[in-house]
Amino acid sequence: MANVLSMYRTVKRLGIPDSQIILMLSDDVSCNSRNLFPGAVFNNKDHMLDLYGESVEVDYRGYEVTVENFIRLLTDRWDEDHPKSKRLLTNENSNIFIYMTGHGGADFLKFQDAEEIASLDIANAFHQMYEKKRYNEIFFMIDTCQANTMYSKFYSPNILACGSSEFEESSYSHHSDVELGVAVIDRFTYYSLEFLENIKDKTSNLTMKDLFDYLTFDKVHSHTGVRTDLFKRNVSDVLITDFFGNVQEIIPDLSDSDGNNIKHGINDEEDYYIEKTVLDLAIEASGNSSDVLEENKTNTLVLKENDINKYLHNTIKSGHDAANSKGEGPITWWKTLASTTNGVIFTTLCFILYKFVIVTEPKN
Amino acid sequence: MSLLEKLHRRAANSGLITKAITSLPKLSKLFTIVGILWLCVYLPAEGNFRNTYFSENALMPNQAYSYFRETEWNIVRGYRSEITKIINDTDIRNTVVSDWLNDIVGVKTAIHHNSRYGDTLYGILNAQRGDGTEAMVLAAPWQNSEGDLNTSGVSVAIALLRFFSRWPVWSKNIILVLSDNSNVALRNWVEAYHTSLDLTGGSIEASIVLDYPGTSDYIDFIELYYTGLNGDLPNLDLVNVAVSVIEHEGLKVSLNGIKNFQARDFQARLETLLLGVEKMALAGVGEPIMGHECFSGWRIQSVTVKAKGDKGPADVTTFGRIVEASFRSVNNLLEKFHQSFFFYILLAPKWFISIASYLPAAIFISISYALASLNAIVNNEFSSLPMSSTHNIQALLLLGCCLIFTFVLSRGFSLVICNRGNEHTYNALMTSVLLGSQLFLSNLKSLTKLIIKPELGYRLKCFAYLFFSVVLTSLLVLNFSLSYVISILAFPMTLLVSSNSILKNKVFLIISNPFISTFIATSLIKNTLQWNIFCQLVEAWKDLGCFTWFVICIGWYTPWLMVALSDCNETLNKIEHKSNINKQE
Amino acid sequence: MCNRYQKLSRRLVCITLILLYCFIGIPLWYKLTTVYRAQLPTQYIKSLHENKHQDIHMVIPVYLNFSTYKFPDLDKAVQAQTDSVISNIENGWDVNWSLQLQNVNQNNLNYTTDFYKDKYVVQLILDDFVGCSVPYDGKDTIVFYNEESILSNDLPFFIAQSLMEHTFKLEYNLLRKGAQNGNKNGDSNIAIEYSPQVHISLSVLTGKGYPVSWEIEDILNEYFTPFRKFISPVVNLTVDTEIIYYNDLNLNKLHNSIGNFTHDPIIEDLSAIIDLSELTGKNNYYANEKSVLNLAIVFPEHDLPHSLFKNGSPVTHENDTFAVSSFLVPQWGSLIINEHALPSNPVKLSKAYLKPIIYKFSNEIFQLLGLSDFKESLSTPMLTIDSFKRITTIYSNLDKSVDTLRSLVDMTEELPQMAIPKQVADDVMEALDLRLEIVGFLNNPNDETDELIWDIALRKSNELVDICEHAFFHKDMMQQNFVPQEHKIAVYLPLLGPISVVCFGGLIKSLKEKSLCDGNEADSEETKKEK
Repeated sequence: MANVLSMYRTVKRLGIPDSQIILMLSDDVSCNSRNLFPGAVFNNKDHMLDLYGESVEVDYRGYEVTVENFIRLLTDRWDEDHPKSKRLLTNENSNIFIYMTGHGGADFLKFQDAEEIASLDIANAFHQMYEKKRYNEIFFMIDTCQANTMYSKFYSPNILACGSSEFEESSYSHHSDVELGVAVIDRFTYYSLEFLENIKDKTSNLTMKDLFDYLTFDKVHSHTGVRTDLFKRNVSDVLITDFFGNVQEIIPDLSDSDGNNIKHGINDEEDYYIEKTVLDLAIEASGNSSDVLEENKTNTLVLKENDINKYLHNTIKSGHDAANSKGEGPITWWKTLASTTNGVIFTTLCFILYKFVIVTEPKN
Repeated sequence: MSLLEKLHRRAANSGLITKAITSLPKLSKLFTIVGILWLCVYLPAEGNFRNTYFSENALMPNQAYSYFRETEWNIVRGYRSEITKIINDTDIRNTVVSDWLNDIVGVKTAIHHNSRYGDTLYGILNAQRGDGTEAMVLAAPWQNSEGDLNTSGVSVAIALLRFFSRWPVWSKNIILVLSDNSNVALRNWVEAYHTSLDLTGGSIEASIVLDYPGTSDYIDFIELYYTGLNGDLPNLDLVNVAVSVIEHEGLKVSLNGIKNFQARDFQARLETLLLGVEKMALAGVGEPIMGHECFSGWRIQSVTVKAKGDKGPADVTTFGRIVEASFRSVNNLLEKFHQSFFFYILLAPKWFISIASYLPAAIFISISYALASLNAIVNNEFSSLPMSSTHNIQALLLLGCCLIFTFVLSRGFSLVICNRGNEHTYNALMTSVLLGSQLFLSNLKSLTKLIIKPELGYRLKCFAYLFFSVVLTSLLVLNFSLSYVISILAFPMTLLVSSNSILKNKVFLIISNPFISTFIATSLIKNTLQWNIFCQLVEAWKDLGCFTWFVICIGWYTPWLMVALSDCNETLNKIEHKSNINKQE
Repeated sequence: MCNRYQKLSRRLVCITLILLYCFIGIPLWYKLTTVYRAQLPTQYIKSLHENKHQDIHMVIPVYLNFSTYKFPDLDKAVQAQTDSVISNIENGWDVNWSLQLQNVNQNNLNYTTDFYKDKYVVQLILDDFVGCSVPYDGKDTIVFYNEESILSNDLPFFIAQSLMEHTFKLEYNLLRKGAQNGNKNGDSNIAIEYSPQVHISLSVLTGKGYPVSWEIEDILNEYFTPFRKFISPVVNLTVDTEIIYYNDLNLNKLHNSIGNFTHDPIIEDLSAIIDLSELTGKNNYYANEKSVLNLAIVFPEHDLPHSLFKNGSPVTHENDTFAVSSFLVPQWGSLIINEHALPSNPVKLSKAYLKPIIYKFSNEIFQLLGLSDFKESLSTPMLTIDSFKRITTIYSNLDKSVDTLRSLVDMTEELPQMAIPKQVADDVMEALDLRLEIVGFLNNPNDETDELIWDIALRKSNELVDICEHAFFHKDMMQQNFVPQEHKIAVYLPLLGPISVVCFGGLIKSLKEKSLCDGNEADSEETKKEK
């Protein structure tokens, strides 16, 4: 559970809001009577950071964390009355980050002691998402034993996957806490988080390739794997913040030839009329009459008679290249394209964990 | 079908079947020998045993740091000095200690009164944040199995309870039990807990019995006892937890009190194995009851931890840490122990043999009995008797009668004869009476001139062996050791054939008699004549619920009686028959 | 021993058992264990997906109105011109779209009657120059021509030009660029995806706790409600307002701890710092509306550096001048940031302050909904709305529905273990019928109520999208890999294996009996004969 909560914290720190995160936990650890520090979950034995402290929003907890619910979540097949906050509301412009951890094996991952999810199930779910254009790109990260088998069956495009250990190899935990009596974090997740801590804010330029290079065998003690054949971009071009962070693009209203600013006061009639058109039209159409309206009407009538010449010249001149107006900014467009991390990106985390999972011995 | 027919024809053609039939007695002896060798030679050899491992991953022993250290030592000393003063006074010791326990925050105490077995004081520490439906027991009898006063054991136990009460990690309740002794008193408490006590703490998952006599501060090594009554063993995971925790503290483990517990060679393994088998066979009977046997029968996993020595590398707080670490491990469980083995034999603290490996030993022997029974049907001139002949029915009737007789005998013995407690001379008298009667029965024919028909004789033998084989097979899984030992001791029964001399037969009969052979066997093991043995058996049944007595009486004695009866005619008839043949020719 | 009767009855029993096995057992088992998959019109949907617009011939009637001269055959000339302009487009959008020119005076209806109120009319006005104009408050196109243009016969071309490039600018651009080169707004990521229900959330945020109020209700009633009515044919807007204290969207991070600035913040810093999560989080509460647009007026906790407000506009409020800067956040809404924090005495935001904001915001709503391009001024809103209706109907809704159906069909083919409930098949058939109905509307707009045809088409196409989504996301269509084939064998073999072996073995034995029996009979007969 500390694995998942650490990732959750990192992702939130880099800007993804809770409304765009789906957290699935068995959630029976922090208030368990065996926890020497009730209400707290630590990922390091120095207990510096309490992951369960503030504002952890768990969407699926306890018995709701099942294979069926996970697949329903991915493919969005719910009852009508399933709340929106528990659904994956993504569209074709969303990048999704999926992180799974727990006990696993060859082509399966254990859910809560009672069930398993097969790699083929996830692959099929991803394909359904692809058919319905529910994602732009998916980054799938998995930290279990024999994790690389889990992504071996994917067949839909635009999926980047990363696992912590090969077939017939175990993933190891990093260290254990003697006060609690359990191991608190796994090596793969620990080093991933160490790398992500280097990203101080959302404007970082570190790429996915840097992350994959950082996770070496010496550190992780198992062979991590990356699957890039389904992914169209080059891994060294993909920014970390494409998946882990959320940068809201803001377009300022700078003045242009039309003077589209907020002007307060009724001084500049000439420029004023343009902002007023739509609303006035609406007001006219609705037949409301008020003092203000009269004023507006007067303005517009004045306009029609006096300035139509100027307007005509504009239209004739601009007749043939109206479609090509780019206005403000090559800069703006480039920014839009270069960092697809604008508000279009929804990033989602799915976390599944089984209670006292992590042991210093290899887990299998 | 045709395949089988082909094989059958082939076998018949080559005379294999007739060969097999004629060599049945040899086969049966062979099987017995294989069974014995399997256990004694094959199993302890390299490669036939495995390292112990933890099946339940949630246990995670030694992952948490144990804090029962120097700070608690003084408290232990304090308790110990106080207890030394009151331990001999059976009237007040329970009330004094219950006062102390009541002072510990969170502990509720009660005393279970029993006029026959003594009062038992117990206290329940409710888990602060747990749900209180399960419990772990820490038992420290006032008097240990050897009759010594368990001073340090009790003081460590009380100090531990006080220590535990200040930790919020418990998900199960902790029950401290101070019973008068480690056998009947504790057993009685356990029974009462499950039936009639008012103050209870949920179902008991596991229990550890502390045995630490004396007032020394230091320990040399630890003896670990785990064999329960009636073949009940604790889950291997609990034993593994105990071993792992003890070794982590730097102490050595001696299983079942074996002397050379450091050695790991074939000899040592064989000794450990045989000691384990002996302890299991004789559990509750003649062996001192260590305390953990009292928990058998209620699915409670329990072990006894006994501290030995007074000079060694560890101190009394180590003893406490053993308990603390074990409890922390068991505390992690959400379910009862179910993952690891319930049937195993330990060859060393870290080596074990699972049932799949050792069961063939007993199976071979019980097959040998079945073969003997087959032999009794086919290898004589009466093999073509139909199934519904009168002799068969007579044999069956006699089987029934013997059963009833043995049953009555066993109950009668237990209710009437062995009622006088532990009076030695009386017991010795009873034993000798019993043994004498067996000798008498062995000589039935010559003493009573009872003659039976030869066919009946063979049928009796057949049913006897078959019955015995069935009894052994059913007992195999439950109590492997008992079944194995009985089958070996009773083997001479099958050697009774009409071609032997009369003396040989008599000798075989005598040494395969249940009572005589039990007497001889236990005397050899203990190196003294065990005049008490039968009363001990009976008391084990009455006080502890150990059913060895009934197995011996009903399971073993019945076939023996039938064989003894069948012996009544053989030789005479055979000589006559021979003489008839001689006459004819 | 070879009683014929016994043998016959044995035979009969065996055969009956085997027949039971085959004719009742196997069909029953098959029926009970197969997954229910309703039939879907796979081929039809696939062919529909291949050429989505094959049956759409959109025709838009345009009327020519003459004032001075009458040109009886001008309509045919202009028709020829528009057709040629359209046909000259290469690699464009493949929708069959055309204008239908008619003269106004047909049917003897005058220009001023209600018939032409909502229709596209071209006014031809004689003047001394050639030009055209499209006023903002109507759908008319005014074309000025002079004598020379009549003589040089440029007029039809000119009329066609004005129609294509001004009146139907949106659609013409789309035709030229082609649907695959971006959406109707040309690569802009500002607009949200079209949805008929959109929620507007207006909020005032202040970093400190000093009380603030605003006259928003009056403003909304006066200005926004008519606006909502105005665009109600296209999108239905619901509104809510709120005031949030102690939250300035993280703008206070622009200061370092001492209160001075580390460097002059620029606009790019704002992107990195601002935290809209509090407002975005509310989006989940609106169950009916798929999208939410926000207007946030923020008063920071401390005064912000002036460098951010270089381009802002001054506001006078009670003799206090401070600057306001407005930002458009793509796919989210509009952000109005004030330079100064609120004073400690309670402040009421007057209508004078709010009115321009609302005006600006309504423009931006047009951009956020995708009704206009980013930098284009909204000069012809009514035409834009009309074009938008048609484009949305076809492009967003019809195409999307066909895509959804195609995905559904592909999915059912790729996952053969998945159940297809009857509900899904019903929905699909209903969707296909609805689609044909909509296409009919698009192809025949010449009904009495012409204007509302596009509204009806849009409304029905929204329904169509809903039905298709409902069919695709049916909650019973789950495929899970829990029962691989090996498991099935493991289940069936112990059950059926022994029984089958016994049955078939018995049958074979009884069949063989005949030969044995005859053989025996023959033998016994022989022996009889011998004896």
